[in-house]
Amino acid sequence: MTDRGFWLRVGWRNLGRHRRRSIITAMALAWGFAAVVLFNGILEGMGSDFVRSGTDLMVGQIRIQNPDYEPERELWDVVGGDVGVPLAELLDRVRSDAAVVGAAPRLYGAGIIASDSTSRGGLLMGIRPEEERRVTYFLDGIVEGAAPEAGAHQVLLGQELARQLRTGIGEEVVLGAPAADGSMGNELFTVSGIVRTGIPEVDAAQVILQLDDLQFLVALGPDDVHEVAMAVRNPWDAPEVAERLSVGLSGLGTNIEVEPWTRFRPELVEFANLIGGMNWVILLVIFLMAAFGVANTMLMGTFERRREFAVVKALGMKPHRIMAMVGGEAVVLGLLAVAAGAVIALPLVLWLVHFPLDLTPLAGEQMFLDGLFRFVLRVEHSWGNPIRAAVGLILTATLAAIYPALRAIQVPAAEALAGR
Amino acid sequence: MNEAYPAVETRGLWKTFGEGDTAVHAVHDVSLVIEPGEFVALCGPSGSGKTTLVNLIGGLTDPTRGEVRVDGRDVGAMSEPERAQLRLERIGFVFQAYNLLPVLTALENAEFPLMLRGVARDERRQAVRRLFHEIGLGGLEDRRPGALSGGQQQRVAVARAVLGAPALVLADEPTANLDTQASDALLGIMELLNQERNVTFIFCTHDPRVMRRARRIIRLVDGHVERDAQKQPGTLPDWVLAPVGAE
Repeated sequence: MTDRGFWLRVGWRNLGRHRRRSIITAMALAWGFAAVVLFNGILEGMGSDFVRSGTDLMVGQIRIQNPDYEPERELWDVVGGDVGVPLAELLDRVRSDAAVVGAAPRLYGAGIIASDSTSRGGLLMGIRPEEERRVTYFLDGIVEGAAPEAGAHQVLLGQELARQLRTGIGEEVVLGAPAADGSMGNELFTVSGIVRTGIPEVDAAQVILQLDDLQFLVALGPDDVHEVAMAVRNPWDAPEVAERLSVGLSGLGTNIEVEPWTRFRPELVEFANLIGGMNWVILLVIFLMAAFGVANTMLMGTFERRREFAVVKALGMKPHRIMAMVGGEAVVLGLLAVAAGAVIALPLVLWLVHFPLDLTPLAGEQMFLDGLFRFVLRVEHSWGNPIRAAVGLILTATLAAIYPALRAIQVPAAEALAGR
Repeated sequence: MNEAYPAVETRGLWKTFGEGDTAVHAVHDVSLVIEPGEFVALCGPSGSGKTTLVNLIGGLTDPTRGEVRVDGRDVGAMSEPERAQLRLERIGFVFQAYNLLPVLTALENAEFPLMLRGVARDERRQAVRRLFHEIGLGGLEDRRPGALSGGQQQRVAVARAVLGAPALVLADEPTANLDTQASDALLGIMELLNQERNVTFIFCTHDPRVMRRARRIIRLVDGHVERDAQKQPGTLPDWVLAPVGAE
């Protein structure tokens, strides 16, 4: 029997003296623990969903650009600059990283799109649809028709743009855009599909076509792209992966900048930090409530056992040992609460991890931080969250026992032994 | 016990409860010297200050005035942790109401001070079992106090008080709740410890059986020493039980 084991055992037995009171307090703590684990999990899930919706829809989690491309977005500021870069090799290199799920080359431009009846300004985006689908999901928003096919001179139009142009699937439109060589490119395209991303600015102006079609239209070469967008397995690994890729691509040419979403979407980072802050606030509020419960229970126990504290003082127990004895009781109470709280929280957490509750039918989809957010109650499972809550709970219980313990060491031994 | 010093020495000791008109002098100018190995009975009517004097000697309460020295050390000048250390190393307490810790077994209660001293588990348990066997508690080690008789509980309390080989045992009415047989057994154990290990015993008592075994009797009345005399064990002078003011 080590001293530490002895005090925990004494704590356990003392709690057993008022079983009902101890169980009620432990259950209150357990519910607090379960609530913290569940709310933190939901908030973390929500935070991850916000990050994913803010990156996965269109922008990706890592991007490669010419460092001069933003913010002017000049047509000739392609990846690799004037010298250029072998696109196939660049894509091979980034795809060889185990953390990269997909990489999609893109070219952007601005131009005029004209239908039979009217014309509008359009944001042109050249993509390779199959590669794009591995990085973003805006093509999932095709409400009619299909993505443009290679060699077919097709365009995919934003839903609102198509409505304004009074055009539809199979109809012809003319794209006119200033080219890199100073000329004006003009081409005839067929509308292959209509897309609705949920982002009004995109749906009202986006014209999506095959990458090589746009390269030809704006007089750029087959390796000229403005961006390579990437998806990674875990969005939070993006900074680390970006740094790795940056080193890996350094020998490929100049004017290649690899950026994670945390740099080009800093507002998402701020939001994630806000979620983290909310987690701490919840932790604090719930555990503060728990602290009063523990302090009350321990204080009652201390008053009831005045004579016992007097006896142990008479036997030569030093004040710090008396505090340890009371603290041992609080630690046992905390451990019990963690065990009971885990039993309460675990099924709920596992359920929401594996079967997220989709509240979109009730709440609808919302635009938030340039992302399309769906209200799905999903718990992000991580061991850090429950471990943090468990440590917090035991620490709370222990801290809450300090005042009762101080009262215990101040018990006047002679008076308490005399029953006064 | 350091033989160079008295086991207990009090000089002009006072303990006053309350103030002004309501002040009660529980201990009133008591000066005593108790040598190592003495077997002393503090007697006197209820409220005469016996328990308060014992609490003062044990450092459980502070004197209002005067000085208490145990083994030559001024108890009143010590900090609370120092007093705790003194009690742990030098003093054993036996209380009238046994005061065993209800959540501990008999063995755990008895080994408690040894554990506080940091004695190894096996060593202290061996010591407890040996003493339990000697005082008729063999086989009761795992019982909680609630499952022991009054006599058994008091024997556990005595074991707890003496296991650490203290120099001084302060026993407050140790036989008050015991029958004759249990009292005799308990006193026999204490006498044995006194004779074999030279442990100093100070009893607060109303019990003539205790007083008869004592070799010195100090009679307190209204907080001060009315009479202090050595005597032969087995005898009981008339003045010991005489009503106050009868002499």
